[in-house]
Amino acid sequence: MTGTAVEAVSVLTGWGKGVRALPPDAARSAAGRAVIPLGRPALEGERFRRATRECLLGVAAVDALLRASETSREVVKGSSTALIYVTGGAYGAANHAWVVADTARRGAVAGTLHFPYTAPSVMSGEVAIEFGLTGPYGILIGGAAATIDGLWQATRLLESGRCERALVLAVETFEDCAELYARGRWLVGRPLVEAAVCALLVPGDLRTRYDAPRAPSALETRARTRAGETLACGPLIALALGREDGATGSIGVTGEWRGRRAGLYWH
Amino acid sequence: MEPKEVFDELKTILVTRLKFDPRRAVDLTPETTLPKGIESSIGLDSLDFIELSIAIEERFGIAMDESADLAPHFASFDTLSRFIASRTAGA
Amino acid sequence: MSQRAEPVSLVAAGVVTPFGADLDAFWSGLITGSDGISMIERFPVDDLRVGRGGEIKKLRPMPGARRVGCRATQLLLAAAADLLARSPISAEPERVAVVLGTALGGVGELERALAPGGRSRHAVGALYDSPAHALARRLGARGPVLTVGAACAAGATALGHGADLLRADVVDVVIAGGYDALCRFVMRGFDALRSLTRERVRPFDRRRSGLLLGEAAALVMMTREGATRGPRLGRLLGHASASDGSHIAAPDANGRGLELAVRSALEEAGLTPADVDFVSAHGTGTPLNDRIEAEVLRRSLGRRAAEIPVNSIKASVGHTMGAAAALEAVMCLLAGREGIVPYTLGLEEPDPACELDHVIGAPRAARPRISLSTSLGFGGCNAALVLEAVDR
Repeated sequence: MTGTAVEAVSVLTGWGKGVRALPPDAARSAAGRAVIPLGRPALEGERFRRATRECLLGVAAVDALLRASETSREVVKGSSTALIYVTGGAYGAANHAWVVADTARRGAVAGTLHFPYTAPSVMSGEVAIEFGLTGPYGILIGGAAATIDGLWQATRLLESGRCERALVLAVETFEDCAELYARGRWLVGRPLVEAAVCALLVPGDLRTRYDAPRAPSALETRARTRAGETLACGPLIALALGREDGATGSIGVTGEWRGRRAGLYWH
Repeated sequence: MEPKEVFDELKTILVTRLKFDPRRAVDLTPETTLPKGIESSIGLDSLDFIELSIAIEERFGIAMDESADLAPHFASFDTLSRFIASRTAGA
Repeated sequence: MSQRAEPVSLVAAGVVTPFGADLDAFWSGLITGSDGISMIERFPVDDLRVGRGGEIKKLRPMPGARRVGCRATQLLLAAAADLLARSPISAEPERVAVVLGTALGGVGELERALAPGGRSRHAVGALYDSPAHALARRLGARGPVLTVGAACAAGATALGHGADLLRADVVDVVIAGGYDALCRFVMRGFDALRSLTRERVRPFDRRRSGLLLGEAAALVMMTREGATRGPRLGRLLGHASASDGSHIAAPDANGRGLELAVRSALEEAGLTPADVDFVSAHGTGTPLNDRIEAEVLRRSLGRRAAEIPVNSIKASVGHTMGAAAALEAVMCLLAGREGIVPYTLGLEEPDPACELDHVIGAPRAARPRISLSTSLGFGGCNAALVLEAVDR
């Protein structure tokens, strides 16, 4: 096997768990709400006492993926699993709180414990710690186009033998920075839907083509219509929708961000 | 301040600054050990200890000498309470 | 076991650092043992325990440019001006990619967005990938625009991703590198971590007591081998990353992620430790990092560890976070080209626990052909680059 394949995709959104929870039309179902929140996963253990909501969502998405694909934690643990994390703005909440605390000069936001969590790499770091992932990583910041780049990176790592499986994880939260997103409303769609999604890529027979299409794929459009604006989570939701349709092999996903659209096609 | 009063303040810090669940704080005793890796300890790591030191400085008005080896004082709530109590005694 | 990767050309570089506006100032500052650390003046630090860092005091005004408010973007544009003056881009816009590493992104703009008078453009500028897009727009690059958010190891992986894009023939030119600007956000942050030293930065020194931050932007122009005639800076032979999976803000006690990254990068380069002529260490000057890194380097380089010169430039310009790995890669290639290895400023009494062949006190006459550069970052990020210098 010199190619790759998508083994499974987990989807957690503000609409619920899985693509079946997505409404037929997110804009209509939002009924004027700007943000559809995902809440804070109730994860057991003092281990997560310091972690931000974004970290917990990442852990929850990977956990959901492992359950859905009946992959044990033992299998993914170690240096043969790559972790690619993509986000357009999940670092926003922690960064926003940090700046606000500085302005207020209050000790209410715990400084030492808070600051590391302003780094996007700590979000994926908490996932790596939780699942014992010690292989290659990628951390890409951007919207849906960055996810396509991340998926492509994952296929490169698999094809070159740098890993035996790859997790491509995207997390987006908007609630804490809703006001900032409102100011940049031309950049993002509505409603903003919080999401945490993860794809498992493994060696397979399919090759991938990575390019720059002009138009969105049908799956990209469907994902946006049904899920809403999920920034980096979009292409993985699209992947899940395609698989739900019964696509078992050839599948293509596209994603656009700030004027650039990228596409990845398994064939 | 008496060590017992200090201990109560430390439990508050554990919740407000170190993000422990308040129900957990109720179970703590002065004998509870602090550093991660020791059995039955509350499991604080290096990051927690920095935050705790800063919180202690702010709450009790004492200065931690960074060049000194303070690890023995941070072994348990009892050692820490006594350390803080002795530092506030002269203040 | 991974396959050997095709080398990629590093054609030219452009930088802006606390030493000055371009690559020549950077190299000259390193060779003369200059100290780029000063009291920070651009924003208030009087309430912090440490108010010093590698601050860039003066930026050249960009001719004909609309006023750019974001400091990070200003640094990138300055580095790009230096780069393009040495080697213009000659490829179709769709075939030019921008891949940048950063720890902070547009965080300076977030501070402005949340301050009185904050505007919409500050909110957009606050996105971590905004500076990369601003650079791409200025360069007219219409290929992929990637922002690597791997904290202080991001610059290395930016070069690695860039190389992958070229090998796969996605683009013909990659402008890759890293940047970060000093701001109150990060100074207060590292202050809260008690990571900053109140004294000098002393990488690997037994008296070391912490790091100081700096700001910089470092860009390299990368192409496939043989795509450009004319002087090349060198080649990127290998890149690898590995997570520690142990702690969010401290390195793994055994440095396992760094060791794996080093081993994998050498494997990708088709080389062994016996081929390494020089190591550019992460060497922040913190008690823990330096010891662990030295242990990993000794283990990885084996018997040759005592003979391979090692340096860290983090005392010279400060820890420039997202720019650091890219800056250090450039330094490795300059050392190979010029036949001089800069010494580790601040290192006077090597810690026995950090035993390595440190370059101390004065630059060393040596012409390293193969360099290994190591970087670590928050979240357990570890990255290594294997570079090859070319003769003048």
